[in-house]
Amino acid sequence: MKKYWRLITLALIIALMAGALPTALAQGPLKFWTFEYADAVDPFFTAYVDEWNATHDLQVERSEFPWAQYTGEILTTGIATGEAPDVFFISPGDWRRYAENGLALPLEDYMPQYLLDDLLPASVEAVTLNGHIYSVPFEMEPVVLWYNKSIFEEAGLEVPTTWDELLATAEALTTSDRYGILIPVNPDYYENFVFYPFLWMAGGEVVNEDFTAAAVNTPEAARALDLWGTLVREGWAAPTSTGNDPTDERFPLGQGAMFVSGYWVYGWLEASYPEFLEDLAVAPIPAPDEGDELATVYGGWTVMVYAGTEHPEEAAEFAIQMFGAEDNARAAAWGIEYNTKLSPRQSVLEDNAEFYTQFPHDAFAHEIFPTARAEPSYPPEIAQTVWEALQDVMFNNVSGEDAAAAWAEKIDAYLATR
Amino acid sequence: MATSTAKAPPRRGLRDWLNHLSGMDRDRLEQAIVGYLFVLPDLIGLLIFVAGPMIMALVISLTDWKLVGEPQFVGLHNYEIIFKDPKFGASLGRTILYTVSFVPLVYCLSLGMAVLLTRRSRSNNFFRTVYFMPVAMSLVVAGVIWRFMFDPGNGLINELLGAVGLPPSQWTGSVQTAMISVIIVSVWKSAGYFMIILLAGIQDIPTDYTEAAEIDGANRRQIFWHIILPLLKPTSFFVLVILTINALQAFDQIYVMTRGGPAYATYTLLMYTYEKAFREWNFGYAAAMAVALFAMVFVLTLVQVRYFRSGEIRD
Repeated sequence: MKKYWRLITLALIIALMAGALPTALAQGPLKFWTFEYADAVDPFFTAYVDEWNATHDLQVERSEFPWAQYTGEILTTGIATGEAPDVFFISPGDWRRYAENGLALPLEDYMPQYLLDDLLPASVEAVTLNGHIYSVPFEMEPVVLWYNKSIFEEAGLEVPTTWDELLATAEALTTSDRYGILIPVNPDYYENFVFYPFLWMAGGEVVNEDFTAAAVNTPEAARALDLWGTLVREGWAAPTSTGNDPTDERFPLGQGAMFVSGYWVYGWLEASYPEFLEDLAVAPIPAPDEGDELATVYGGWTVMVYAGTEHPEEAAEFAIQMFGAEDNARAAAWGIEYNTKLSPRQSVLEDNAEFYTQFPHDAFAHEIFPTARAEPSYPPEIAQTVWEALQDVMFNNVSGEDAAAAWAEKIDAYLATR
Repeated sequence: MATSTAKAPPRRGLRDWLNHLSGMDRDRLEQAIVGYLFVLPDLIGLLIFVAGPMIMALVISLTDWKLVGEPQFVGLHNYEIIFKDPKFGASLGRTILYTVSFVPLVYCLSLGMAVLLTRRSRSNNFFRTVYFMPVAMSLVVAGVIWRFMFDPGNGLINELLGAVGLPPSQWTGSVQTAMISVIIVSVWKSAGYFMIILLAGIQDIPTDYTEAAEIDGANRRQIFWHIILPLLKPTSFFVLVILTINALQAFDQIYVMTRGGPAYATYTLLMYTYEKAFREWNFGYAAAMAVALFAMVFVLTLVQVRYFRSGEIRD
């Protein structure tokens, strides 16, 4: 009998522990997740989390994950296993899925009025769905045409302003050990992101405004596809990527004369190839024809609060105050001191007017940004059709027209299942 | 070799096994319990981290689960779609192409290196390190280095080809050559590891056999083909099984190099599974593909076991 009592006691203890464990976890700290930033950026987060923890009962614990995992499986796995973070950074590529599926906490009721007045309307619109604000925008990184001044001077060429000029310049600057231009060629979200300005400037769109039908089976979309197809097929653009797509070592090494990429390139070059900065110049992405309106895209992560959080109030406050505190110093430091990014808060631009008179920040703030549109957030099923069309024109010898037709068919097939 | 099969204990059911345990005297029972306790940590790990997820995958594959909300039971529906899905067929085809090139290449290369290293020579340690280095290198670093070397414009490989008068290739930049490029890198990355295993296998072969053959006048080639290779069969079996499994699960190496491109030329089955699961959140379908892949690996392994068993009897 004694033996049984022992067993029963043991079983009870185990059962109690198992029951108590989830509650203990739920009361644990507020979880804040980001991808792994460069070491130089870390103090930004440490300072903010420390400041929060010193003034709040509910402590915050930050975790960072390698880029590939963060943009891959880590958030998904967290949600599936009930271990989702309370506050996390979300990419525009993933944003819609989280917002549409009720995984993001609507933040409009927590957003202070001064912040709503300060944020650029377009940046708020980019994180709004059906009248709800699902994340806090804090950075904007427009895409431009970087070019190597020395190579252009040597060749006696001007930076192109139309697509015909772009093709001619890319051809003229291509040699046996140099590409005329570098564009992202790996089938991925990033390739789509850089392609959107070309599509928009040609007058194309991916889907119609109501999100009910494809808008790509047009001569405009075909023309944009053909431009990229021609560049790669003719060998004027590199058919491969090196390193991570958003950066490309071949550019500072003089193996690419032009480079379509974002504002972040400047920070990267400053840190890794400072001597190259003398050769660096920036221009807007050329428009199809002379006089056409310029357009570009800006990317940038936003802060989201998990809808299932146990502490919506604190989580929302933590997320909003990170870049949205009344004093905009932290928001400004993020883009000026720790990174090269523009802030969606207009006051940051006004209060740091001096900084935004310097190269290349002047161009980004005053020339490029006014033409920029937020990166659209498409579901993965549609995003995939964009890079498939691009891959077809670049690597399968498909004409822009045929690729655009097939592209539209795939989008419509998907939209029919929604 | 036939003796090893003869020695294998006769198969027993659970009841026989329990009878066997209850029939033991106290000492032996204690010994048995201690023995099982020793393997228990591994067994628990295996059950929780391997068997558990496998069963879960099987269960999920019978549902429609989009991460949000409860999974809906749909029976075999996901498996029905698999067979109609052209992307599944195409990525399976590429995976098979990759496997039939990768497995024999790695096996031959690592066996060659292992044989070279069995000779007593001072340079052995050096070469062993050199051959093993790719294994120790981080996947991401290796991917980046190879992308540079394969660069059609300035890459080392095209420079070398040019130096010996061969035309340059687009490597990962062309649909025709991308698969070859990723196979080259995968072979380079794995050969060193399997060399170590084969080397251990060769060194396990008692020198009596080779010495006897030498006395009988066999030359090196004859010793390799008639002594070493047959006696290496258990190791070869292990290596080939693991290689096949690795090849069918090819993912990270290729993902780092090409993201499955250009134009899906290197898009494998596991990449498709990953995309369905973690990008589209179509976990039911992804799990069904994972189960299908498991079934293929299982059948292939059974075939390999059969083949090697039949070889044993012939010997």
